Amino acid sequence: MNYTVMTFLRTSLCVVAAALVACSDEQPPRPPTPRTEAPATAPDTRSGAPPDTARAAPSADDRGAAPSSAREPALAPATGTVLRETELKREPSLNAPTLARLPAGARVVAADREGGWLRVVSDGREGWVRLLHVSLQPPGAGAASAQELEAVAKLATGRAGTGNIVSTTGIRGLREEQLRAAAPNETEVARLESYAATAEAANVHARKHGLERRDVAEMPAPKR
Amino acid sequence: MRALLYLLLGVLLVGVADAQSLREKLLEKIPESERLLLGLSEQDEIRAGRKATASLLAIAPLVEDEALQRYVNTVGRWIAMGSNRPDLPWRFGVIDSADVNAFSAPGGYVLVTRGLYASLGSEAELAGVLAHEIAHVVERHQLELLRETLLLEEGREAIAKAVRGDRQELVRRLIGTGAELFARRLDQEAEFEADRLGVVLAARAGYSPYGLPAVLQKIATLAPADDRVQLLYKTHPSPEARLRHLDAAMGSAFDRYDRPAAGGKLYRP
Repeated sequence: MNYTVMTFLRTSLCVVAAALVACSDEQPPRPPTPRTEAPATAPDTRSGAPPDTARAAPSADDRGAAPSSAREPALAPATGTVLRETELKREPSLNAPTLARLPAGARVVAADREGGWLRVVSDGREGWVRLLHVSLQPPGAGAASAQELEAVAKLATGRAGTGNIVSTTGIRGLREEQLRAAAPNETEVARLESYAATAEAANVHARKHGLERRDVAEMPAPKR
Repeated sequence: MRALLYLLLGVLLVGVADAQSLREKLLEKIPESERLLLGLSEQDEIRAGRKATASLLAIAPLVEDEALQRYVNTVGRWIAMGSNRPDLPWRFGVIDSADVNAFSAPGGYVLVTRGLYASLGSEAELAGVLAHEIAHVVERHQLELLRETLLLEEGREAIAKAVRGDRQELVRRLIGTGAELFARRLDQEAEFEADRLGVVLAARAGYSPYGLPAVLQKIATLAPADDRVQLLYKTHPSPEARLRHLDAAMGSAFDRYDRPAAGGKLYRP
């Protein structure tokens, strides 16, 4: 069992147990040394956070590092709602066989994401739905059941669950008053300008990573 | 030719009382985006954006990581080069704030918070975020908001009198105090438009069109009461409304551009 799954099960158990006993705030066990070249940053669970906000995978700390791969990192098991009737597909493709039709309002638990597709568990079935047909919710709004978590855990790819925003308390965002009172910092804006990339550097990056210019027409506003 | 047209327009606007209909005829010949900008040059636009950006940087300075800053500039520049304003002095940066948000200012200034950057899972997602901000700049959304506010509050003649050709003074009046531009809510339609154009710009640059939708979906997993999304919720439609809008606009027409693995490895601080 890899670390992601372990932590995931631990945090999910925490949620289940939260109603009975308070989960401990202790740090999770450190991961085994990763074999990838990525730095082994220990996830920060922000020990001050109440247990009910610690449900998401713990590796999304602001400075968290994680192994990356060609595919996008796995999602922590957020729950969501199908926005409109959609097909549950066996593979992330319109051409893949349809396993079921999910009605608007159907509940899903997210397991993974690839391009325009979201891998979900819904009503005991597993498959892919169009990303734009699902709205995910904050923790607490109908937390995943033990069965759902178990089903999602089976789909875990071993990729770290970065990409999720862990709920925390006591971390402050930007405030309007602050913005209004700010005086320009010339040094800092000059520094920003000093990091500008040349067109040539941008082209080199694109060539190196196979990014090709494509003709894509502008999208008109949808009819209401 | 265009300069001549402006000159002619200027002459007409000064002193000719019954020039209204003539002026309207002339205006019809100028594309809307330029007509809206009458009296504001691209240099004014850049100066205004730079000033607002400098104020935002005063409360949230750049993250101390040159490699990170250069990386976002490279990705951002590549996307902006595919827009219809490729030659603006585009500047991108990651600022040291836990807030989950991204900002743009007139003239090509784009900033992403450390909090939002940490939630990204791929370069395609970064591209989606930057492309949304680039779209605001390309469409001059903030500039229009500033221009309209100034006109409403002070009136065209009063401004002309006070400014008297002093461009610095014009920029000062345009931007107002500090970085309040970033606390202002744009028209909801402007946000939806930036989402649509952002998706298009990312796809034009070779990225999956679904990077931006993926980030919106992730933001929705944060409680709206979370301190780090207060400003975002105050200034934007809800992530769900934005996803619904993109769904209605995109349909499945963008599936052919979906190459989930396209792009480099996301730089991790």
